[in-house]
Amino acid sequence: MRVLHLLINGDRVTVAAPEHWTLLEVLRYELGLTGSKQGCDKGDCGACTVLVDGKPVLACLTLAALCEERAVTTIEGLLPAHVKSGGSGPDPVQAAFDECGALQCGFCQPGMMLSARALLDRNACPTRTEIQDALAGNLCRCTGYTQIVEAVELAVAKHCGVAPRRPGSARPRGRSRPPPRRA
Amino acid sequence: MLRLPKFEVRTPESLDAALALLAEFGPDARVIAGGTDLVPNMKHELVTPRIVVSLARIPELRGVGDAGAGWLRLGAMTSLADVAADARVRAQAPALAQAAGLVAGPQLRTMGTLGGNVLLDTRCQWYNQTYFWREALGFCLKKDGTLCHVVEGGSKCVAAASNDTAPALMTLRAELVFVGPQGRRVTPIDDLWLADGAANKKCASDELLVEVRLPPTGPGHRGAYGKLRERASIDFPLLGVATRIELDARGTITDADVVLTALQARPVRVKRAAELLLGVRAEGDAFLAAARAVADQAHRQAHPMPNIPGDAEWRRAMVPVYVRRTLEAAARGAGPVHAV
Amino acid sequence: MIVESLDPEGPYGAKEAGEGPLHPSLPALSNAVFDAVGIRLRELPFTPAKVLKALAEKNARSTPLAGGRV
Repeated sequence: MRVLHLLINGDRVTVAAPEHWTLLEVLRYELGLTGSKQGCDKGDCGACTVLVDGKPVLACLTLAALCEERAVTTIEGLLPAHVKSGGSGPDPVQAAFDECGALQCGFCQPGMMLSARALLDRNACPTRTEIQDALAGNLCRCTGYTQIVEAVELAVAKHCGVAPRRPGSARPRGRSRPPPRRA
Repeated sequence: MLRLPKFEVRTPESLDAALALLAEFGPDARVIAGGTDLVPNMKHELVTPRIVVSLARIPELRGVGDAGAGWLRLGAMTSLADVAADARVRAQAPALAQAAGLVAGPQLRTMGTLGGNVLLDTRCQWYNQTYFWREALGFCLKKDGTLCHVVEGGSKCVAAASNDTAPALMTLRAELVFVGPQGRRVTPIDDLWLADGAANKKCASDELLVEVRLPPTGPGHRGAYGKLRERASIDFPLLGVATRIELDARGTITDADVVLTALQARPVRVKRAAELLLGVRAEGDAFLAAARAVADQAHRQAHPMPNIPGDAEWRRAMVPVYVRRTLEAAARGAGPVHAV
Repeated sequence: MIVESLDPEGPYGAKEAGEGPLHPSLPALSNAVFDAVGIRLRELPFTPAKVLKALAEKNARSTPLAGGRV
């Protein structure tokens, strides 16, 4: 066992954990922060994404013993951080995911929202391509990603003061059908 | 759920302290940089060190800087994301910036380091599996066993070199700086490789890769990286192509180099690339014909093994396509080349 | 989810409950590939490798000299 002094969601936490445990194991099994999901557990799926010093990393491949003196943000920390910085209610990314119904089973959602939060922190008004690139390390096996990308676009639109695309419309509506083909 | 085997973590704060730990514990110690290769391999019990030595607290190993006489020094602990985004790297070594930017996904590029990617373990579908899985098949040549499941009766491991940055660094004629008990050792990256998947790098266990050095390039330098993969993130390359073209003031090619990866145990240089492209202007039909000649040569040399994901025949068919496209991208000052 | 009924269409009488609406989209995609390049893919996923292989087989059947440049 090793005593770790961590900074989780703004709180100083002292916790004893086996020295070879990953950050994900310490979050889930020592601190009860089960919002970070244990998916593939080997760096393929992105469900365990957390922010370390504001950057998205995979908690399943990060040794907890190497996270001392670094600021860790999990999904549980988004709302308190938003409220602390003067906002009300959930983080705008969370609100947009809610509004767009950007989930089915929900397993990928914490990682998705943290990747999106990290993107918006460094680039408040990203393009659709930049959003897709930023979310490329998070797999969703349910949705096909359309509503997820739209949710981030909605958060961007609200922040940047542009009219958002209508949720559920990946393509512009009312486009004329192509003429029927003759054999 | 994949649990790590037990180990102790050490976080030395100087290079000397790190080297002392490696000397003290020998093969029982492993170095951790970003952890994106080592941690999954430890979870699969492919490596089971007693001591894990982190380089995270040695600040001089991180960052991009001037090494004098136009050379660029990239600390081995510089993250792949930082390499991809660095303005000097993008200007002086576009193929490297592109390759680093196509490694895996955003989280893994934030964690993973340039040094770690250069020293990446080789990969094989029969090797990168859990202990339980490997034991059920009687293990393999690379780890714990004597049998190769890829090549019938094979006596040499064919696990594939899968590092994206290695071919780019080879076209750029990069040098690697190692520090060990005998002091500093500078070696051209071409001399790093062995054609053996079980251990494809000449690097002692008590040595540390501390720096990658890039020679100066002129205004006529062009480079690009192409990567074949099945989806736009996370995947290791199913094929990697790095190209380099040097142009004179009139746009005529004076030198060229093409290196492929993910085909066999070490990155492979395409033969006669410079000869086939020399004296050709980097545009129009003549260039296309020369690029196709290089692509044909690459196709003749490439024999992908069916030991990493993706149909081997398809990967081989894509070799000339990606070589031609990546040469064209370099000539246009564009890239990277990837279909998804 | 278990729906306790005997569905004559399902294996062992099992009745699906969730993904039924997806089923027509897969033949639609297969039809789109056929419409575009004239090959019939019958096994998911429709990977580039499978498309290339089917195209090569089609070319081998139609013109003995087919097989373009890279």
